Amino acid sequence: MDKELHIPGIGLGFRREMAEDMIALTSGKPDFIELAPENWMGMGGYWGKILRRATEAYPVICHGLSLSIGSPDELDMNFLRSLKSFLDEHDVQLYSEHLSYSKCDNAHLYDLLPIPFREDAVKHIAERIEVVQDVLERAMVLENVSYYTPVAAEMDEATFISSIVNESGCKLLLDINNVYVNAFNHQYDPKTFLSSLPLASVAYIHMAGHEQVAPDLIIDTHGQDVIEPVYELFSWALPKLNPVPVLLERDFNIPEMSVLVGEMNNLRNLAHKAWSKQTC
Amino acid sequence: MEQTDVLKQNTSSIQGALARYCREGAAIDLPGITPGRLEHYRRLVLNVVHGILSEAYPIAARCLGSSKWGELVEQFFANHKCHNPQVWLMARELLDFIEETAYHEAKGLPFLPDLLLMEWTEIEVHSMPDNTTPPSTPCPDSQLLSTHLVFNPHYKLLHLSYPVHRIHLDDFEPKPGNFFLLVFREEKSGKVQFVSLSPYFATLLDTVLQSEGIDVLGAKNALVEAGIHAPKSIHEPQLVYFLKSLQDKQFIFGKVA
Ligand SMILES: [Fe+2]
Repeated sequence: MDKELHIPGIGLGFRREMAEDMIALTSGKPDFIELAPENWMGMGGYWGKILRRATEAYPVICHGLSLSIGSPDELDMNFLRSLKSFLDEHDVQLYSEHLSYSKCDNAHLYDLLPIPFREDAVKHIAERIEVVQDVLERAMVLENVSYYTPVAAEMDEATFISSIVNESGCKLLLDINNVYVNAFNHQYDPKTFLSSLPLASVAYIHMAGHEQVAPDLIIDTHGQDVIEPVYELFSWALPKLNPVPVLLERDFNIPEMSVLVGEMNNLRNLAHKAWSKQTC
Repeated sequence: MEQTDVLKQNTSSIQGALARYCREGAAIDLPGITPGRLEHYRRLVLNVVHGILSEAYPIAARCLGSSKWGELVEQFFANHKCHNPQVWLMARELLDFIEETAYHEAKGLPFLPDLLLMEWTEIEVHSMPDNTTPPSTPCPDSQLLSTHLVFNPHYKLLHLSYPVHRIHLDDFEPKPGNFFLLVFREEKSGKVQFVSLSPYFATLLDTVLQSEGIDVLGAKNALVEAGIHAPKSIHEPQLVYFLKSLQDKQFIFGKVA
């Protein structure tokens, strides 16, 4: 990707609403795009063409929605096999998912529910990661998610995430905004939290905006610009991380492409500042 | 590949209870919850479902009005286990739910399944996987009945019991009958077109489309053998006119090149 700067690149989440604009970009282009395979698998016609044009224009990273790695339900092997074909077809090297569950009692919920931070859940998830990796023939990269309440927790979030990484050997997708959101919502220090994660396992970074809906509650909407304290946390974390791809997520309330290009430039400059020292 | 049962019953049932709360909304008591926060999960989950269904079925949503539509969406999500991992395909399951539960009958909305089917078919045809056809050239009118035609492969032929394609008209009446709609995707633009067909033309077209390598006259004769005759008003010129209009609309690509 960005060989000159020795950083693996800054990407942008690929959404239908901005698809044409992203494909047409001539300057300030992202180094890669990230898309949710569930939204594009098996798609022909207009959107199929858009997908082909996008994958011709950019390298693709995939970020899944419905794997439900933390679910008590069995893994959906048919889905996994279709997913593998999609990843192979589009030459997707990096596939990530959420450390949450979105399906239970055989019913999908299409949103991310918090897993109880417990030892048995750690073991359960570690086993499932192995199955997923075997089927997809790719390393799993799991994201720390925003959560609004712990549920029946027997350990803290950082211990839960670290245990899963240690037990399974999976990689981490570190969402800096989610760290900020969780630290705010659950009143802990984001830097202490970050320091207690296995940072050497971080393979990918997400950055996004959020919405504060109450004095004590932020919802992770991906509908606003990235705010200054999240940039600060990002800058603070970068020197502790290996150079990895960084993605800007924007799902709602999508602004002009120039605003997103501006945010990507901010990320690029910060990443360059932190990582060119490490790698040059 | 077999998963072992390391997840304890207690953890699994807590996860189940949270998921059920999100789907059904009945208050629950879970250990270690921050007060007032669970509600956000149900709100966010329902937002997604509402968003997807309202976007998939804008006419039905408008037709039912926000209160009845909202009730339907919530009933569906609480009582139907959505099995599709792709959220845009989940919208199809609303139709399954209506048919399985006869919701439309209980609510006095007999035309609802047809309306949902028509709206779903637009999405389905718009997104169906790309299929190729043999190369074709425009077919002259004089050969339309007796040539192997090349048809647009991205289509659905619907048989409806209510004229829901006329629902936007002031004189729409939900009177039952037999209505046929050809729904197809324009090759270049990817846009979806709807063509209303008479019962005979729909049957004839279906026969041609279902039988490999048959021309329209062959299909007409096959129908006669099956006891289905063209109405008295339909002779060859009407058939040619029908096929020509489908070629003009690019549902018929032409004849094999
Ligand atoms: Fe994220």
